[in-house]
Amino acid sequence: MKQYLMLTNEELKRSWKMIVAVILAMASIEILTVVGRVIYQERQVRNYMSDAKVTESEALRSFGKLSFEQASSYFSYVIMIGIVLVILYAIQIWYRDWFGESKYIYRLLLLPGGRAKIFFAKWTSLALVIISFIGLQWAVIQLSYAIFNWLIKNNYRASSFDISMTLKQLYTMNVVDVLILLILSLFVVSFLFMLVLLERSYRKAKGLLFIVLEVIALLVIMMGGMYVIETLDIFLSQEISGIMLAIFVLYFAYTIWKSLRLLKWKISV
Amino acid sequence: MLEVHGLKKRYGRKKPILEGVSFSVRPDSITCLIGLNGEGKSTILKAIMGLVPVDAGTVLVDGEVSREKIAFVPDLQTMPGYMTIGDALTYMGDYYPDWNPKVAEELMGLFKLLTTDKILELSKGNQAKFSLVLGFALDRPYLLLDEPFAGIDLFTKEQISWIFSSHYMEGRGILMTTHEIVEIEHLIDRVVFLQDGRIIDEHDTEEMREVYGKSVQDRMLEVYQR
Amino acid sequence: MQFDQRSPVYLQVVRWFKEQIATEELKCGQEIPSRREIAAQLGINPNTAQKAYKEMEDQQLITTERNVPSKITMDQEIVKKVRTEMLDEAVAQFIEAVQAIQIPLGEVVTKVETVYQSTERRKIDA
Repeated sequence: MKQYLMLTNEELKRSWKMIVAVILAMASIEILTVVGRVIYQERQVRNYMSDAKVTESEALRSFGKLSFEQASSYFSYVIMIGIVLVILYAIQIWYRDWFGESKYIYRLLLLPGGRAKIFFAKWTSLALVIISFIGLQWAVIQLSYAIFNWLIKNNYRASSFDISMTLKQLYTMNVVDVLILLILSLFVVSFLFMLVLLERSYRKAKGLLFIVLEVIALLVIMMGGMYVIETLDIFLSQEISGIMLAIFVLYFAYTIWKSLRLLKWKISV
Repeated sequence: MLEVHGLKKRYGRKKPILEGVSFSVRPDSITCLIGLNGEGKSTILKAIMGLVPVDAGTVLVDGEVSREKIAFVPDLQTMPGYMTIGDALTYMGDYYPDWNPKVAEELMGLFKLLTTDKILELSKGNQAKFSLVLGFALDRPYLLLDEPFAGIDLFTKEQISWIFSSHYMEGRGILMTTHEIVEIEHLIDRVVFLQDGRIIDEHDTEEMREVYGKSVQDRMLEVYQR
Repeated sequence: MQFDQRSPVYLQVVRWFKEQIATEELKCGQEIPSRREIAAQLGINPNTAQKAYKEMEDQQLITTERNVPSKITMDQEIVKKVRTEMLDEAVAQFIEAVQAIQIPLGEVVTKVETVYQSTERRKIDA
């Protein structure tokens, strides 16, 4: 347990500069896009007023007022970039130990005690990054909403929305929803870890073959699930959703079990 | 006794790199695994440590399947790049219950290494010395060294080989790989010759000199020119 | 110390001690370094040092009692024997070399005397 905590700390220590840089960059890009949208709208209205020689209210009528939803419409792209970065981090966190300036993987695999702690330290690092990512999004939305209200003139603002609607678009702040989001992210991380460890264990053609097989297995399970939902959704009884949940939990457990076995028996430096 | 039985290993569809390798390392002695480059010497050490899976074979340490009695010094850096020597020593103490800080400190002094130096900025010779500190400061009865003298100048070689005639050898069985033996052969108790994935010859060095009047180098030339 | 890699290292160590005994650099009853110290001093494997000491014990050149450092033998006979043995060895080698080039004994003896004396003189001068 102590070694697991130390290793997690070690992993974060190695990446914190990168993580903080990415988080700051994302937050500032998001806030800047909101500010930019407000300024851009004002300038457009002003230009239109002087070009077409119309009053402010006429100009606003033809341009439309700006809602926070519109002002924050770039957030989804930034979030997408964030997701891609998390995926890359999930891969990099392993490969850097083989291909970095030193071969830290030797040290990790030789540490006294089992190898599961290596896996869970990296897994926990990802979990913490994802949690801070979600927390950051929440904070950025609160902050940029306040900035939006403070910056925009009252008559320019479309008032027919409330913040929880906007939040719901990006993600709800409902505890259950956030938890589901987190669990799904961690499943993706575990799946990626398994693929990386397959490649690091079998290498080349054989590794690629196993990766393809695992991806196919996942797709089959997902499509099966979707088929059940689409065809039976009216009848989606508690039993069926229970069974689907059980399959998900089992598959999730399988990815971790498989990774731990690869790490114990098959991995190569 | 560290016993290696029937190690077999093949990478992909290529010719097997190890075709049933068996030998043993006595406690309190230096065994040298000799072979040309690419003969699988490093693979054997990694297999002993469980760093590469083998297709067959077992490794017993004093009759048990356990790696916790063996320390391994590979011929590359294994500590994260941002660490200083001091960080790395603290790290070892944190993770290894059998880490001996006293020996580490003594060897640091004898090798004239500074705790404030960054590991990746060390010269090749100092990297080799530092790796040896990491190996010798673990209180373990067996120590595996992969090419401890590779790419090191003669002067540093002498500073390093000193450790093999010191009291730090007590209670330690050493297995080292090398492809150049000349300057260190008087330090070695036993040689094991590896070729084409097999052990082709094994000798006690003193016996070889006494009975055949040959140096390890002589024997090496004979073996690999066949 | 430089070693001949073609003859056993432990015997070279024994010989190194014999030379010092013959020249009385090591005197009867004198303490000698421990196995550990001699290994470090000569840069040899501690096992080799152990083997050399064992050999010297067998030849009664040194005596070892428990918990005290090994000592050079007190037996003058053995010291004498070491000297004779080393002389025999050197002479045998010399004779072999001289016979190979077929020089008569008289000439050899005269030559040996002059060279021996001039080298001694040079040693004293220096």
